[in-house]
Amino acid sequence: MSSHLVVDFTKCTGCRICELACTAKKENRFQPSLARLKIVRYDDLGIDLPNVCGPCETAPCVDVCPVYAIRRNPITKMTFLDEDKCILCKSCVGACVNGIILLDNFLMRIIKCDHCGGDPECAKACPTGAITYSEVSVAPSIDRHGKISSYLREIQRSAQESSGVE
Amino acid sequence: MTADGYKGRILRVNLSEDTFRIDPLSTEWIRDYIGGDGFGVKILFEEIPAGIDPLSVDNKLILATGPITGTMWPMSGRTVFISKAPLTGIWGESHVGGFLGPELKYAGYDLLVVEGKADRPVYIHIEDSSLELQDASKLWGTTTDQTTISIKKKHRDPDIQVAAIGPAGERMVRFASVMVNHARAAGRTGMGAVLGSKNVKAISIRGHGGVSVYDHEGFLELAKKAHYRVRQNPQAREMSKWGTWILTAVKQEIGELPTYNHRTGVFPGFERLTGEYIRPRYTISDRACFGCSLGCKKVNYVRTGPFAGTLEEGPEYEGLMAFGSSLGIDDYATTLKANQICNRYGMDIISAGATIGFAIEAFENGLISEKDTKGLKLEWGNREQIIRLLEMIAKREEFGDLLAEGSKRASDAIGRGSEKYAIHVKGMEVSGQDGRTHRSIGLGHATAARGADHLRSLVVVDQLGYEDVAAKRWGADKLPEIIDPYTEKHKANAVFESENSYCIRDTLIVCWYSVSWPPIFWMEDFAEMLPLATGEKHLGKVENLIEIAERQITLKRLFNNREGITRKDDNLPDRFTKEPMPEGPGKGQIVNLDPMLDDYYRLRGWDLETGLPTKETIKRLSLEWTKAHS
Repeated sequence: MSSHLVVDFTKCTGCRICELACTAKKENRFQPSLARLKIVRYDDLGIDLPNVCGPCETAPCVDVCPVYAIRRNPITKMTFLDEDKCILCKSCVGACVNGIILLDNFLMRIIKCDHCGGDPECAKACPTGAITYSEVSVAPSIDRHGKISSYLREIQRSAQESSGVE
Repeated sequence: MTADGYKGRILRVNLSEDTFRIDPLSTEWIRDYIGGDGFGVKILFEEIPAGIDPLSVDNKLILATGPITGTMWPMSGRTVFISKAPLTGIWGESHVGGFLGPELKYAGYDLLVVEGKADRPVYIHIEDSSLELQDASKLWGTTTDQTTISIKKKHRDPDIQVAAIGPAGERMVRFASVMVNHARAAGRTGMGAVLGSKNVKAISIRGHGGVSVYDHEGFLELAKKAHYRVRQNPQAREMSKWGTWILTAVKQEIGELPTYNHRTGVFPGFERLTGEYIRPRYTISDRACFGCSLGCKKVNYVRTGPFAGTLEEGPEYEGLMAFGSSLGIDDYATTLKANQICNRYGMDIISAGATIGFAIEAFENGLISEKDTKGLKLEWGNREQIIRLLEMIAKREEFGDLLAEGSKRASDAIGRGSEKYAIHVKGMEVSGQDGRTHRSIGLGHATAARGADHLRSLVVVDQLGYEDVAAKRWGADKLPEIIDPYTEKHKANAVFESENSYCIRDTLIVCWYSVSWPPIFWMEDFAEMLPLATGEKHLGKVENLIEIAERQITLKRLFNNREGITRKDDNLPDRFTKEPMPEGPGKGQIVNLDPMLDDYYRLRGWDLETGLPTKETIKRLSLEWTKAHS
């Protein structure tokens, strides 16, 4: 297994079909609050950012786990939770930089993406190709910050221009 | 036990008493009305006495969802606001995309019914089973986007979905909208004014639950196939690139781009309002509503010119028409700025644009003077003036106070024959279509329950000439007349059948774009999907769905009849029936409404003289219970 989730930040429309597809497969119902990934939507700026359990550069969830219940594939850098070892200390919930490790306090379990065992539902459902599942040779994220920073630069520029005119 | 797909609970908030109540959702309602609009009309008919003032404490506002809201069925994230309409005084509804409806379902409710009136500004906060009226005195006066951000910040949760009204709603502008996700508007008929009259600044919802369907595997498989159909559909692909802007050039070509307050159907400066012009210059981001694989929303940014720095989603084709061609403005940046003002202040763009158009034309013809406008020289194509007028309407300042009443009331107040420039049906301003070059929409405008409406019965198949679709749906024997836009013949059949299907669309609730241009989904697709979602087998038959649609449309009709609407109100402005189209491909055309109305009433089972549903129709659709409420 040498593939990983790839996010193209320029393509997401914020439709959240991935969240629906994820819970449809994992929970047998449609419940985005338990999705193993999250679309962060900025309606005021018109920006949508998919946060997936992708290959993090560093893996805080692995480092923080006191019982070694989360492990990392050295090649794909994807992380996996061994539920039998988990003691529900929630350290990973707080440590996850993408905010997509959750505690389900109805069933008392940690919810974490397992990449659907190598056939991720979110990538299949994404209508725009913002989330794909590709060979590790493909960079894991495309234009992560580019869209936002060019955006903010442009807004700043025109704000300066218009204040200069007045 | 309620059917699957539904949450089975109706949440009622009484603002006067500061109480919440949860009622069960009746199984009979599901059988007879399915959801969405259907539940809304049932509640409104039973609970609102005839003749009340829409802005009084007696009116109620309903936020409704359908059985598949919150599931993975394509474009099913929509929701509807229903109330007696401040703009028209009759049936009022306004559908909106975004993410609000699914969130209500995830919180555990199918419907929210707002009753009474708060004694102070509040917002209704729903977080699963936690239900509160929160103080909104600090939010009062703020724009819709500020309100949305403030509520999210206060509760420290960016995933709260907020439906907010702006200053226009607070001041009860007759066409005030409710705004969701900053730029998605429940625009028409003035639902924002109803909330404003009740002192409700916003409804904020957060849900952590889920929605289950009857046959999960079967439903999921069908939904995935349906998404695939959307992704493969050539028209849908065009839509996701250009949004509704694609329409401007089409409308110009067929001579139906409303220009100068519907005076003509061709606009010389149309090119600057087309997708090909706008997208490369202004568009920075493509967005979608909940569960939509089409994604027609465009975020745009103006880099130079007087409106530099404007960042806003939209406008749709209707906005390009209302602030562009209809007011003689060939500048996209102006329409974007006008759209932004309408979004922030919370106003319907179609009615706002049409009311300004009415004022300009009346001024041009000397029926209103600078004395009425307090010194403003109204003229076509004046960009700054449009923006100024919009702000005046939203704040009800000076002349804006009159225009805030909508074109019908404004023309009644002005008199002097200005009525002929108020282009409305039953008080609601005409949308961006023209019956003269597209007869079926003439009939649609005249008969739709909420007034001049393009979303209840707009037949697209005839306008764009999809012969094969027309033959399949209406029978080859009705060709070629049924797809000829310049003849009245058979148009009632097309309107009748389309209106029924759109009615089911509005009960589910799915987006208009999944059933149009030409349809990706139609009745048989809904009939296949509904039993899988709900477990209700009888919803699996197209003839049952048609009966449900007929029942709902006739019930809306009975609601309007109770408010005094009869055949004489099913009319069109003289502009469409007496003034021939002056130029373009449709030159010389006018609408001959009566033969179409006769055909339409016959198909609906309504009386030809009065336009009231006949006794037989009421019995056939099991609506006898309505007698007790009339």
